[in-house]
Amino acid sequence: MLFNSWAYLAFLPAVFALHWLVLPRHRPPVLLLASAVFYGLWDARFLGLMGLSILVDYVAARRMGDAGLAVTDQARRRWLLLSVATNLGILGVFKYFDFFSLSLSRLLHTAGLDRFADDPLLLNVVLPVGVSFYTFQSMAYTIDVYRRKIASTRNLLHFALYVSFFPQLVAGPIERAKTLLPQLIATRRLRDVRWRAAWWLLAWGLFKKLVIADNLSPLVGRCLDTDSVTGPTLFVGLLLFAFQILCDFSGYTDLARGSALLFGIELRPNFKLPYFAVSPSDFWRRWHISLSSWLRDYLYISLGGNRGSQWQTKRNLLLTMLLGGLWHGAAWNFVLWGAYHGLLLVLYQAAERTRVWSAGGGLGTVFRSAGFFLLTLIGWGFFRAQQPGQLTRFSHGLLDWTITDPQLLVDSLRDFGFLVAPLLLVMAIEKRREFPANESRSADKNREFGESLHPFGLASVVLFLLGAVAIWGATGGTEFLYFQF
Amino acid sequence: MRSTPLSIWRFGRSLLAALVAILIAGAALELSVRIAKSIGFAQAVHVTNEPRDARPVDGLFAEERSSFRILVLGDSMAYSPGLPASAVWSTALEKALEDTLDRSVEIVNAARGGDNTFSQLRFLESSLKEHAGAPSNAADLVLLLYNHNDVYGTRSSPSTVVSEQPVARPAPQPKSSVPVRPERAALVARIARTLRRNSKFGELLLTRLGNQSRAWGYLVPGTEFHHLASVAYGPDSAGWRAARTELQAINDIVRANGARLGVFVLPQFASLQHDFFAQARAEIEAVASGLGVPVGFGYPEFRGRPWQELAMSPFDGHPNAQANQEIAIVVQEWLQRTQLLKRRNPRNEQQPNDTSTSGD
Repeated sequence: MLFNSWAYLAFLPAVFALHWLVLPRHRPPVLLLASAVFYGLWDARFLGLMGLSILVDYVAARRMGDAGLAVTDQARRRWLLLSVATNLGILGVFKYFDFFSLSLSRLLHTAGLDRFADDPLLLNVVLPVGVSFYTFQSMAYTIDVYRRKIASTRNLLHFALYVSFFPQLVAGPIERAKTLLPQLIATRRLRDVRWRAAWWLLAWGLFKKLVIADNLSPLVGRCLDTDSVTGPTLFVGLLLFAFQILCDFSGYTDLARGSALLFGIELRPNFKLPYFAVSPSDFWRRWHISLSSWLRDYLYISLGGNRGSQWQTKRNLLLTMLLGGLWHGAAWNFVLWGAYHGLLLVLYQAAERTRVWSAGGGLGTVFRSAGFFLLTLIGWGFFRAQQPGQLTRFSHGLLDWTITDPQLLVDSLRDFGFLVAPLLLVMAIEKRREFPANESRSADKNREFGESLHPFGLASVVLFLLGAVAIWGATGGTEFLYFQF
Repeated sequence: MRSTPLSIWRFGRSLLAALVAILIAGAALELSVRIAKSIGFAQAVHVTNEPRDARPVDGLFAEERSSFRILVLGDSMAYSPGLPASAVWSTALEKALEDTLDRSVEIVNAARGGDNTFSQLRFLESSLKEHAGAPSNAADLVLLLYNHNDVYGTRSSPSTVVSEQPVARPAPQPKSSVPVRPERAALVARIARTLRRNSKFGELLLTRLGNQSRAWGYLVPGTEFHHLASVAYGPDSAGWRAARTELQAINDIVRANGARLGVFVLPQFASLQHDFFAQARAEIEAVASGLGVPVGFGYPEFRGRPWQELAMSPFDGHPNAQANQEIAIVVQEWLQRTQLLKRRNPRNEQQPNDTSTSGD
């Protein structure tokens, strides 16, 4: 079920009503049942796959975390290994097997070993929606139990709900058990619901997805999906794509967070003005925060983090970003995108040690931010090049700056300006709130934009957003870009 | 006791605040729609049916050429309003056919917004009568792109129909089988008219809501889509009865002139998510097959695609440039499958019935 579908419009109020009508102790089962329906409407068969991940991780965490069992460190390691192997095995089979098999076949073909390359073994299985998200969330739990950061839960139902909670099931945010599990178990009261934040997030998320992202999508296609792309159309196309993917994914996150708030559950923010970043490390603290912090905590640190020599740190950074790129999709363009960001991290680390880096004060920050935004656009080129030969065409386009279709550029920039204007306005306001002028306003940082408005103003804004969705929103249930990951 | 007036005061204040909020949001939306229209934001622009060029009447094709000639008849879906001639499917099809057949191909797209089999028959009759025997008028293939104009309730003939007076028409098919109280309908229509006239936002919203209600209302008797999906192609439909007769007459004229006829049905590109017209397609296919006319359908080729890829806007289901390119490919493949690209027979020679069809 998609957030931007009519089915969800009926589903959410129904679950909301049922959730608050039943006794508090019945709320987790209600949410679990709703999550199963939400996911099962895509393909009920994959509920079994999620069930496998839940069951293995539950048992593994119980064995690792139960003090009464007096499990040895070696046994705990074995249980962790089982959990990680199960989750990565699911990902390996359903997401990466065909990709690596085909890549190996091409490699053998290039090496002239056609006899082995002609008939690659392919599983041709459908990618289960959200598999990358729930396996990572489930693994985070078992690793935290192994590291003794949290205690394992005894209740299988609570753990199943933690993995499958429907607002964040298919595209995150990737939550941590430490923050989500206690909320799911706690007795919540209707009067504690942050209504203003929920309304704002739901309306703003719908607007970003249906009005901005879905209307930018055909423009991006017109600019980039052509046989001969030149510099100006490539630049404009990537500029539009940068905002399309931001609005698509952050729109999903807002809808997820808004939906969860209706049940009194707070999910972590996933985006904090990412295009204001001044460096790649800053960017990854602002973009898809739940994934980048997952990669930092469970991959980068496990590899050794920055505890070794400089070379080891660089290697760890590159490896983390490569795997982070591969997480986004089983294709080489995502690996290249990850490698590109890894390389930027390494280069920027070296640059940040120089004096020149911090020169210029506020103006310097603006320049650094603009410079890194251009580098981000190049990165989106790797990300967007999903058609065969498209990356080559993009690289040719970088060398040819003739304007072949001025009308397309004018149309694209005009529509882009019109669509993105409200987003820029909200971004500018949020940017001001990022650095409050005085300490008394620092609490504002954790409040949603909608909560800082007067209720009357919020009502006007929400009505405006919903009206805009009604007339300009794309209907028909277009999928979110991040579902494919 | 004191709480009652206070509650009423609070309630009244909240109500007033809600009304003001609605007014402010409405004003902001109206302003944004007007800005969108003034700057030409793509989605705000309604595509009009302004003619790109007049429908050719005096000699459809270039004089004395040995090319394979295709005459296209159809409605606005085939005409494709809002695009230059170079971006229309028939131009792309002409080039593609020349490349694949390795021969000269000439396509004249004589489609017009609002056309139906009635106006197409009149056009063919007059054109052939006035220029009988002229080589510039002789098509090898007449391609009729059918799109339901025949079975809409009004079934009016376009004002630009050439020559003859219309023959006696069947009574208009009522759109709704549900009786609507006239005073209520008049009030609703009046409100809608006022809103459309005075508010650009209202105009867009009503169009959008109208499209949505039609799309979802195909199961509800009395709605336009229900009419199209369940009534319009039934045995009691006067419009479809007349269309069948006219289709046969068009086929007779085309064959009498040594050409072949093919019928292709294009979908509405803003509503490809749901298959409303399976029943209608079966009926059209049965009738065309009975006449020995190959028939093809575009919907199965585009099924499930979002409007963003193919339609002009969510308000306008006409094909955009991308859809036109894809229509050319789909029609070309269908033409090749159905053997419709065979050379023209000598004039006035009847062709054997061709019953090959391409259904979904």
